[in-house]
Amino acid sequence: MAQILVKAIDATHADPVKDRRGCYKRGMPVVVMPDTHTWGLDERPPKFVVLKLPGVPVEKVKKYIEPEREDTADADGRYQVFRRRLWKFRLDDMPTAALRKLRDNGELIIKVGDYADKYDYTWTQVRSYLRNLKTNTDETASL
Amino acid sequence: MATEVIKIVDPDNGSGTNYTSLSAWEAGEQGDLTGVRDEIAVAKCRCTGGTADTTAVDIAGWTTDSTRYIKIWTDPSESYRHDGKWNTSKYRITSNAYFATVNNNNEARIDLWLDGLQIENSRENESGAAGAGLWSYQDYIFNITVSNCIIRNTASSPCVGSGVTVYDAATSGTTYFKCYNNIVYGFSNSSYGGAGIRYHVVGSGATRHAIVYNNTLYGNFYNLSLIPDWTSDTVYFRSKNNLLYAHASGGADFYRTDSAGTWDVENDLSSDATSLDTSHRNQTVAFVDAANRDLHLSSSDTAARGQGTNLSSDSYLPFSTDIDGQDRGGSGAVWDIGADEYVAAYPYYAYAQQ
Repeated sequence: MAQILVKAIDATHADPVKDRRGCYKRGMPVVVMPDTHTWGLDERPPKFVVLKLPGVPVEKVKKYIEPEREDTADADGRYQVFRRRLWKFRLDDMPTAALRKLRDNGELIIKVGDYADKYDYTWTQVRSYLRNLKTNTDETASL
Repeated sequence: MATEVIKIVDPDNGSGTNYTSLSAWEAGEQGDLTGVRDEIAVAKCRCTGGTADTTAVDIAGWTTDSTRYIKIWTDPSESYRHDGKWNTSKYRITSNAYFATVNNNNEARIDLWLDGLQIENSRENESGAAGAGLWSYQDYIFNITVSNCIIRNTASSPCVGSGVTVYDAATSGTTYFKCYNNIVYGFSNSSYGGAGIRYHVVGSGATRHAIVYNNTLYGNFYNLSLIPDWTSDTVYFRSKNNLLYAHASGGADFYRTDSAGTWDVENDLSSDATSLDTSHRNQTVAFVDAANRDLHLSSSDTAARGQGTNLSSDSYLPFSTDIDGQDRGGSGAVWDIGADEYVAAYPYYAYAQQ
């Protein structure tokens, strides 16, 4: 029963390291909420879009809001943040119809499993636009 | 003059809500406050239906300065601030985040004020994880103020982090860490000295001010941990009216590695023999209900009530209320030690007037 709030515009910092570590970029998932959640006035275009995954437990998609961490631990044994998010939806590579819908409605409904109601795309279609920034490969996992 | 831009954060999405989590607010508002925005970015947190904010927030990628800063708070004129005890119908942010529920670790200048929040971390002990309430590691100048917050750890075996953790690694300029009227409990990990408040100098080359007043720190491994680490820098530690109580087994109410720096300590109270103020060591304080972490002072208390220094005209951090927003009695009053100022529910003079 999940919805993913996705940043739709870049934030920037003049320092490239701080920019990478700290700034959300277009397509990065920000928070995950249950199906029943309603969004605030600013949680919509132009700042954000929402991907709805009816019937999918929140816990299953929480991994998409994890940061990308350094490969090696610091002196205290901690893995510092390398990039704000490990995953990023390649929004600009999505079909024009999907982009138009995101722009106009602010959301896409994604069919997962045996979900039988109205939907825009399937998870199998959408996951091919969800890039792991560390491995530079698109998601292949099912939900 | 910077403009305050106020956004409403409410997990229940009540009327006028801009964001339904602090994390989304941070993502939506992050940027350069010092440029054309010329702005104080304010997150006013509400809780109109009792729902917790359950996504940890990283504060990173901002550009701030001393007049254009980040303020995250509950407005005491509204009804969403705690009442001095953890309250599940008021705004609270809870998580089991790796670093901290509120994390600022991007090693850039930050000017940040947290006021009137409830912050919880519940991450179970794990190698490398900090599991702190607030965590900030700073290589640059900073102004961090934490006031009127309740910060707690609810893990059965807490990680090594502290309730408020500030690593001061600035190499130039002047840093300010101000922490007052907070209640912090449950950060009891022994391996790295989980603390209620931990301020740790880890760089050299800056002038530093750590100002820690009127906090109640209870049941942490070290309740108050101020660590100069043999610095040759100019460091001022000002610690007054703190109530340091019931540290976890093997720890201490007060801890420091050495006495480097300039120390200005008055009326810090400890339940053991570690307070730097020898007249307030080994004290027994009467709380309203310590077992359930209602750390308001009891009417029967004599150890903390009326034992503090009046800081309403303090040169470095003047304030005049307690964690409940109650007036501490004006410029002539003798203050209580700790975050709470005992105020009788129905004072004698009210009867007399009747």
